[in-house]
Amino acid sequence: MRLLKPNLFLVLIIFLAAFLRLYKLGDNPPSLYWDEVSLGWNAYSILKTGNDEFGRHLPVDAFTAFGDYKPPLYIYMVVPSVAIFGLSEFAVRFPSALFGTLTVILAYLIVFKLYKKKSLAQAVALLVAISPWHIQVSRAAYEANLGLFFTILGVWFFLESVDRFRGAIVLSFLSFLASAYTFNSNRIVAPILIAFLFVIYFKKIVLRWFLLALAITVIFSLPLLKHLKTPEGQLRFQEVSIFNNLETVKMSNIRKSVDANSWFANIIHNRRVSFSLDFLSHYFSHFEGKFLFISGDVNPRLSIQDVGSLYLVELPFLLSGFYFLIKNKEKGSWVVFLLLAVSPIPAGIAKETPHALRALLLVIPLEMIVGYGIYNLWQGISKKTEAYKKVWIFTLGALFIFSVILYQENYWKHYPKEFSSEWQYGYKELVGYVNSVEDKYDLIRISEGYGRPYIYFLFYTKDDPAKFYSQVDRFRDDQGFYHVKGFGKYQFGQFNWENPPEGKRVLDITYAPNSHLELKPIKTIYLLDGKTLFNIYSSENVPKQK
Amino acid sequence: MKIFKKHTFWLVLIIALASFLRLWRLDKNPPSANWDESSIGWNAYSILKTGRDDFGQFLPLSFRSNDDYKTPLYFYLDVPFVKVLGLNLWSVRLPSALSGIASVYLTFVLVNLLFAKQKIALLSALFLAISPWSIHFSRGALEANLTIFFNLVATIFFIKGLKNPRYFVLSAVVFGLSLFNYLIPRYFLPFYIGGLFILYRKELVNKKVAISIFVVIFLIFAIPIVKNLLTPSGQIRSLGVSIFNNPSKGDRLSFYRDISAQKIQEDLSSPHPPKLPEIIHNRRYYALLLVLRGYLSHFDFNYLFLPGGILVYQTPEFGLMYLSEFPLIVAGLYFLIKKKEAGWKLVLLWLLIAPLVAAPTTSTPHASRSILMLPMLQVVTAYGASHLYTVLRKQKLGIVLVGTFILVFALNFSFYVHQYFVHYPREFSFYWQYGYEDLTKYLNENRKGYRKFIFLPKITRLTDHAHIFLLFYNKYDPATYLASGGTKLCDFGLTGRFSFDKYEFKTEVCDFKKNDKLDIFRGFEPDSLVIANPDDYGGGLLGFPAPVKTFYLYDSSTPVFKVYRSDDIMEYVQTHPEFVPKPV
Repeated sequence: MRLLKPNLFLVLIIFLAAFLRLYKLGDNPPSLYWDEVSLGWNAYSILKTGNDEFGRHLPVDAFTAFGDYKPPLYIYMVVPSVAIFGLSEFAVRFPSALFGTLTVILAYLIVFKLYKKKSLAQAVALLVAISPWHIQVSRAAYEANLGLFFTILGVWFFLESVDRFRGAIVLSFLSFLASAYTFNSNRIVAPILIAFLFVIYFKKIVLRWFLLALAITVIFSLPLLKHLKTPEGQLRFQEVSIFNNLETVKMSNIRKSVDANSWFANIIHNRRVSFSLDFLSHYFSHFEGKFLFISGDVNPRLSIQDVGSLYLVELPFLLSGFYFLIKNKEKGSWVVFLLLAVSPIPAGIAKETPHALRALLLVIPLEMIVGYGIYNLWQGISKKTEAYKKVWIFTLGALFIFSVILYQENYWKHYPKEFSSEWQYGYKELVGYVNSVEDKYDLIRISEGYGRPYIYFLFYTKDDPAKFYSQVDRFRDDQGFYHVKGFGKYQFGQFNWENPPEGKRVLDITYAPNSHLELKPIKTIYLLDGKTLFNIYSSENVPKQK
Repeated sequence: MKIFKKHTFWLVLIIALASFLRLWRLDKNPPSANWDESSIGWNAYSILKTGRDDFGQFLPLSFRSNDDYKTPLYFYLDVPFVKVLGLNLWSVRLPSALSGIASVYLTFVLVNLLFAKQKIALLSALFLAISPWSIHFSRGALEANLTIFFNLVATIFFIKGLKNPRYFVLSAVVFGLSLFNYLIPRYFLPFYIGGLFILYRKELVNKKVAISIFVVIFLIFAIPIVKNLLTPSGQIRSLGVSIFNNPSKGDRLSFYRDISAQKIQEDLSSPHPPKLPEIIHNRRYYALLLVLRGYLSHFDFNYLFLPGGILVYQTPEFGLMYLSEFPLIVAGLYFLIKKKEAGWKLVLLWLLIAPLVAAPTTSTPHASRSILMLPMLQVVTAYGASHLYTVLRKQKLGIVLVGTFILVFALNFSFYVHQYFVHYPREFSFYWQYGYEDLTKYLNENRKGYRKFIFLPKITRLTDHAHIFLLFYNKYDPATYLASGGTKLCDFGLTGRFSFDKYEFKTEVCDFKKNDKLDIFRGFEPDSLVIANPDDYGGGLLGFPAPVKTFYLYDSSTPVFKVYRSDDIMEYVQTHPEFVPKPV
């Protein structure tokens, strides 16, 4: 690549990024959590039969999966990965890690395009490469991370179309379209970004190309739009939306009645006012110090809890970055502000915030601003004496290296142990054990309470997916989620030990909190922190009832 | 009209607005005296009459009050108000309200002193006058509000002292006095005064004598405080709110000592570079994170601009600042750093140190413990507003934009006033422990018919300090009260049942025997009234005797107290052997 040739430093950054994302990808995080397994097995099913878990042929709008209707693109990315690496933890996570690495390159390209400064672009690429937030999401099969790649790619193509190749706008739109087929949040982010980019670069856009791109995008988004209009498509949105909080409506009605339902009461106590404030609160929660610098997302799958979404040392540079962005008034900064302002919108309308996945796009503008801060501070410092410069570089380097070591040490040595249950650790061991003894039993019952066991049994037994379609017994609950009650020898649910089926040899796998204290398990599966996860009982050992 | 050009005209207008917002219906909203206000009021009354507090201490330097060992200044300041106005909500709240009004004026003075720009000084005063945070704290007898006043006065004297060193004496005295009002200055002032010395080191170089006098005077005030802080009762309050001593379930970081030890142990059990585990898992690093988390939380958008956080301190739909102030304060920070006008450092010093005191405490962000962010938040806002205006004035349509913004701000402000005066008392009367005034009146009307009024534990829902409300609303004679023994609290191992007049107070510690849950109901005197929380002690049970009277919150729909006849309860207990009275 012509662009990369004189840029040894960037190559090094890419290698670093790839190493941090790909090294022992299958081993840490310590296991696949349920969504990852679902993505993986659906890809496997597509690869083997061309059908998803429900026997649907090559879905393009959504995969039903658990009833959460997963966007399709990540699964299709896993298909070749499974074809090459086999059905394994690594294969499921590989697309995320790969595109995560590519995002680092895009960060470089986009900053270079905006500011035409190589060292600034390198600084931002390096910051993204070592970002705890971005590494965390790149090391698990998170659709959001692939969505992030497509979003940034879309922005880059857009900028490309503005100053070089007009037709790139078609590629830009297609990238945004791909992002919408990858992750729910992008369905909100993509159109907003396009609209604002259109406004910012209005004068430079060739309308002909723009309309062509728009037409193509609209056509290809039809299957998605059709799906989103169905009740199933809206289910997920309803489930997480802040706008169906009945308390808010009740409160607004009480306040109106206190004000005798006058005309002004109907304006100021309109529930939309409360909902707007609610939205702002969720939106701005992504700029809280705790989320950004102390411990990140509260979900241990999205942050190791010992480090924030950004490193603590980035705090002064983020602040100075803001200062310089406003002060220098460079044209490219509009795009940074745009990304910053738009990123938290989809997370803002959802209940749990701050959310490291729904607001993932935020990592890019934040690191851009940190980089901008460092770069501009350096502009001032580079004019000072040599000794001063050296002290500055040394201090900065030492702080960042210390931060990365602290983060990585925790990530590799302590994180898997402390949080293995968050990753539903233990199913691989369980399925391995069950497979080794299952010939001796007629029925294998697995108690629920720890993720969704059925998908792990599919994943780790690697049975023929076609066999699963024909045997599966499942139902849909009133929330719209599907539950598998059983297939083949396996049964999933809550079971009563006192009355095992007559004349059958039964293997019972019990989630530890529901253990039968009076019985002795024939095998126990442990979490990485040493806690008991599953107790396995055999019906041979049950004392006969009198 | 020449008069409108004069800043005094505007200043008078702003102070009038501030006074209206702080004095109008001061005794009606907040809707009732909370336990702190009752305690301050009655104790001031008692000091006036007997020189003693409700525990019988003579002129204490630390009021035990509701077992929170309050700082003394507010009590003593309140004495003349009680003397003149009598014991009521006006006399209790006026010191705070007046200090809030004075702070508006003092903010003008300080900003004018710092920036020599009357426009910015006026705007700062205006933003403080209408600040929801300031209004809220000025309208309750909250000692926190006085810290703003003292700090403004002392700082103004300090800056004047740079020119005329005699002012240093006054500055030191006021700083010193403020150590006796609220706990915050004790931790804030060392940082702040140290910061002032560093900031003005050039001006102070040749004022060694003045500085020495300043330090000596301040230390004279500080010594009793330091001595008090070395005793257990002096520490109880600070330790009780320290995050280091109160890890909370579900907050992983607050168990940092365990995490650190666990990780070091894990590392030591496998090959590791020398010293590395101890360095990167050092508990001090986690402690730093914990403090920093608390500190940064005071700058969260949600905390400053939106409802949420600690309920006691909020108005429905409002945060501590107006949403409309957000763009102004952002601009203010930017221009403050960019322009570097004289005084900018003091503003930031004050503003950045203020939350430091609240940082290592539980339940951060905390509006009361970080109260000293006022009035500097408003100063930065004013600075931003003024400079934004200068920039926009020259733009095409700039004036239209400014006009629209002022309109939006005015609506925002009107909405606040409506919310505070109409909806606040209705929705938040619970946090002002509403209900005791009605209850006291009712009991007085029924004095003749009953022998005792028995209060069951947790009657205020927060804790068992019902007596202080009865003292306050009855204007109970201090001499009589102290003669009957004064306050006797059971919580800290003191024994002996607590009663005065016809009132008798049951507490969980003293009146629940381990093996005899029914003990609390035995020995109820016949022909008495029993006052309990609505759902406590069988109050929610089917078939439990009906209360003779129920009291409600200000919204007239949420019950706060139920009053039973003791004979009804005794009969129920005897006919229902399976009944176990438990507080909910």
